[in-house]
Amino acid sequence: MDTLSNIVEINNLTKKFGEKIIFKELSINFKEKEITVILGPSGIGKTTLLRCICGLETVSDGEITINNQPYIKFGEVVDKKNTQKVLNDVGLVFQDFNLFPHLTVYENIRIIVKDDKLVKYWLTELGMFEKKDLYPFELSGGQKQRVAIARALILKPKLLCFDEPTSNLDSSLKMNIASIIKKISKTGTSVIIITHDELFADAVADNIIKFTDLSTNVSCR
Amino acid sequence: MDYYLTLINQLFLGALVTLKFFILIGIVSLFFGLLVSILGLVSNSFIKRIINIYVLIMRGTPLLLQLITIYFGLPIIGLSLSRTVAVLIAFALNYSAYFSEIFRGGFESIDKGQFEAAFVLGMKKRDTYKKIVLPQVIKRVLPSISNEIITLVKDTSLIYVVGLGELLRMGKIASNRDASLVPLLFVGLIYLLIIYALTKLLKRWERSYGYFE
Ligand SMILES: Nc1ncnc2c1ncn2[C@@H]1O[C@H](COP(=O)(O)OP(=O)(O)OP(=O)(O)O)[C@@H](O)[C@H]1O
Ligand SMILES: [Mg+2]
Repeated sequence: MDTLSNIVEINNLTKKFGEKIIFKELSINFKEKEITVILGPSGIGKTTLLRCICGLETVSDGEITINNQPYIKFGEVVDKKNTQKVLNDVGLVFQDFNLFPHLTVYENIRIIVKDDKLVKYWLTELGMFEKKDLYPFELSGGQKQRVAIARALILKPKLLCFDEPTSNLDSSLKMNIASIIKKISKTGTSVIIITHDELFADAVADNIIKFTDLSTNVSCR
Repeated sequence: MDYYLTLINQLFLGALVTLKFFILIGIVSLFFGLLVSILGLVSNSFIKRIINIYVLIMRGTPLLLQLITIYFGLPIIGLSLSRTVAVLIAFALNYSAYFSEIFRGGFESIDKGQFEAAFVLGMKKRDTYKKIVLPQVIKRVLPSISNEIITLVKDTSLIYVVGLGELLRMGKIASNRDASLVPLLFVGLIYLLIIYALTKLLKRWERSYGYFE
C-alpha cells in the first residue's frame, strides 16, 4: 500500500536539554507529498522536534534522514560541509514568523532570492503584493504569516514545516491558511504542521499524529 | 573689540584642535568598538577573557590616568610617542571599550529568532550579521552611542595634560594672561554650541532609523 516514500525519517532520536529528556528513542516517518499534522499537549516537545528537523537544535542520539539524504546519524550531523545542502530542502514558518523588521514585505523576500519576478510571483500568490512596501510592524498577524510563507516557499523546499500556524489567527483566517497549505501540498511539497487546534487539523491533514508522551520509547510509523 | 577678536581667534584655533581629535577618535573608536564586540561574540573563551579584562581596565580607571600612563609612562620603558599619537591611542583604547560594550548589549538584545530565520533561509553568517542583525543593532544602540559621543566632546579637554592646544587649554592660557574669566565663559559657550549642533545631527540620525520597529 505504501507507494509514497518518506520525506523525513526519524530513527531512535533522543533529545535532552541538560539532564532533562524531551524525547527518547523516538521513531517516526513523514510521508512525502502529504500534510502531516502533529497534535499533542503543551510542553511535550513538538516544537523541539520540528527544530531538530530544521537544524536549529543539536540532538543527543539517533538518526534523521531528510529527502533520502542522511542528515544526522548517531546524534551527529553526518556531513558538516553539506549541512546547508540538506537543509535547503526544508522550510520553516515560525510561530511568531520572525520577519525582518527593518525590511519591507518585498525586501524580506528579495533578500533571500534576488529574483524580482519570483518575489512578485510568490507575493501575488499569497495575496500580499499590494502590501509589498509595508514594514512588518504595519501588518496584521495573518498578513505577516503570509509573508513568512512566501519567504519560505521562494526557496522551493521539498518540505515545509509550520509551528502553530493558527495561533495568531481568527477562525476565518484559519480556513484561509488551511486552503493555502493545501494548495502548497498539491504542488508536491510535503508539509508538517504542529498545532493544538483539532478543528484546523481535521480541515487540513492527510495524516494526524497524536503525541502523548515522548519521554519514553515512541514509535509511530 | 580687538581684544575679543584675537580672543575668539585663539579659541577658534583651540576648537579646531578639539574637533579634529573628536572626529578622529570618534571614528576610530566606533570602528574598533564594533570590531571588539563582534570578536567577543564569535571567538573562544580565551579571547573573551582578554576582552573582558581590557574592558574592565578601560572602564575601571580614569581616562586621565590612562592618558598620563601612555604619554608619560611608556617612555620609561623606552617607548615614546608623539603627543598626538599618545592622545589618539589613549582615547581610542578607552572609547573603543565603551562602544564595544554598547554594541555587545545591542547584539545580545536581538531576538534569536532573527538569527534562526536567517539560518533556516540559508543565509550565510556574514550576510546575516551585515544585512539582518547590524541594522537592528544600530537602531537599538544609537541613543547610548549618542550619549557617549557627546561625552567624548567634553572628554577631549583632558588632552590639556600633554600640552596640546585644544579649546580648554587655549581658554585657560588666555584667562591666566588676562587675569579674567571671560575667556573661560567663551570656552563654555563654544562647547555648548558644538554639542548643540551635534545633538541635532545625532537626533536626525536616530530618526533615520525610525521607519521600523
Ligand atoms: N532551549 C531549551 N532549554 C531547555 N529546555 C527547553 C528548551 N526549549 C524547550 N525546552 C523544554 O522542552 C520541552 C518541550 O518544549 P517544546 O517547546 O518543544 O514544547 P511544545 O510541545 O512545542 O509545547 P507548546 O505546545 O506549548 O508549544 C519543554 O518542557 C520546555 O521547557
Ligand atoms: Mg511549541
